[in-house]
Amino acid sequence: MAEHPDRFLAARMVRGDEGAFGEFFESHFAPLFRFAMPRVGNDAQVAEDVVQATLCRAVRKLASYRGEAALLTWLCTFCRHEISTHFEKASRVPPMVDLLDDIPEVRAALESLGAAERPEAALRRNETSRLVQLVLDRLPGRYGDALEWKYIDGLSVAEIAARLNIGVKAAESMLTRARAAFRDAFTAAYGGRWSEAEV
Amino acid sequence: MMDDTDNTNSSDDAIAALVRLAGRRPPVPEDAARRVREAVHDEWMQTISRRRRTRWIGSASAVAAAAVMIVVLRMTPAAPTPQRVVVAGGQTNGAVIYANDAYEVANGNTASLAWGNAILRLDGGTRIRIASPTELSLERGAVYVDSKHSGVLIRTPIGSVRDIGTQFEVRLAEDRMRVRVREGRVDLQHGGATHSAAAGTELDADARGGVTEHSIAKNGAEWDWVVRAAPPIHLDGRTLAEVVAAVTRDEGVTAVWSDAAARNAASMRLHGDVPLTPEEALDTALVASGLTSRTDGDRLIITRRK
Repeated sequence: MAEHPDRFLAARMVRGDEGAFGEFFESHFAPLFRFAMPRVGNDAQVAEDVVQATLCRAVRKLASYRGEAALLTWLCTFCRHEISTHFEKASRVPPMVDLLDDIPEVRAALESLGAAERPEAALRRNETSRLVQLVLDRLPGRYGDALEWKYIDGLSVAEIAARLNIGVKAAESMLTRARAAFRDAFTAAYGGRWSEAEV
Repeated sequence: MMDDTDNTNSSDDAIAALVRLAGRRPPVPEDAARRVREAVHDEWMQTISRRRRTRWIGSASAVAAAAVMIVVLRMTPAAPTPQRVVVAGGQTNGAVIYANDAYEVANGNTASLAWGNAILRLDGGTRIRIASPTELSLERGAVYVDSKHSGVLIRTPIGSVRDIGTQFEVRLAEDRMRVRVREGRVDLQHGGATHSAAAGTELDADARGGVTEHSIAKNGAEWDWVVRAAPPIHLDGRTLAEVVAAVTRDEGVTAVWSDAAARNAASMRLHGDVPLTPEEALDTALVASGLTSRTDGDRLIITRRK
């Protein structure tokens, strides 16, 4: 199995590279926080606690990360454990959440996206929105941010380049890669028919 | 403002529409991000600092989480009731090994098992064949033996190693073998001669009969895999002193109880039934006892937590 590119980021962190730590935190805190929030009943304080515990545990164990999956996937594994521990300590039952990325039937749930408006259409549209946001969170590096800046904020390539402190050509190239990565990831999640959907 | 230098096609239009449909991802609270960043950064710095000071920390280990890929290859149907020689423990989850079984560990993983009176650890890519409770053949890779009683024999195509109650590693490469002794003494039978190696010594033997001897550190990066391969530690019912002794033995360092508070806590009995890596066990046991530790060369200094 090929090593995930995140392996190099982890290796730099293990060597004590401050820049790598910054990159690691900037890339992973927000997605992990959003991962935790619905699983702890949208309690921001609890989410903060479990994410902090997750990241602290992760940096202690970083040398064991072998790049078999993305770092975020690896972190989510720790996070699930921390969430379970939190609810065990509190002698509480985790909230019953029905998350897209937790259920294998996600594709079926989205089958009728874009169909004529029906009572469940709004719900499914929300689920699609969440799926898009999940995919954006799972894209490598700053791809998700770049796509949001481009399509929601309407930033130019030059403005995106300035935000990322890279050249315009590099930003164009990054956007191309970000679109391709999004297309691949969303296709995988949606079952290969996303381009037929009316959005 | 959209950038008109972009060349978009219908696929890109669809991506744009999807991203707009979804809207901006929920922001995270900035103050939470700042607090978590500080805490995680502190934790990271401590981890890095500890690695740099000691060079033996296997924070990489995550033994409990690591999938140990072990393949047991039965040589025989030969004996109808093969001799049961190993009740595997640690990461092997109770697998039973019989005489003439070959035992393989996948690259990138480690394994540990109870073998007779010894604890055996296997590095990734290792293959052994167990002959009896005191004898095995190393076919490739590396084993580490922690034996309280003498008499274990490790055979390799290049030479054989017999321990005299010790901790040692035998690593086999294509045309040479290396024996590194951490505690006690071993005898290497090679080329018709016996070469003894004491603690802190490495013997490097080639296939032509040559043997060279070097001094080595008893801790450091080259022993990291041994820590990674350590069987999980259960704290429940053990004293702090027992946990510290187990972990320092694994890591090749000596515990120093620096003050009365630390010494008094040594006999404290611990609770907790979650299997932990040595590093986690030490951290947990010290925190529970109101103590902390730092490393100084090959010493682990244990003091009261301030």
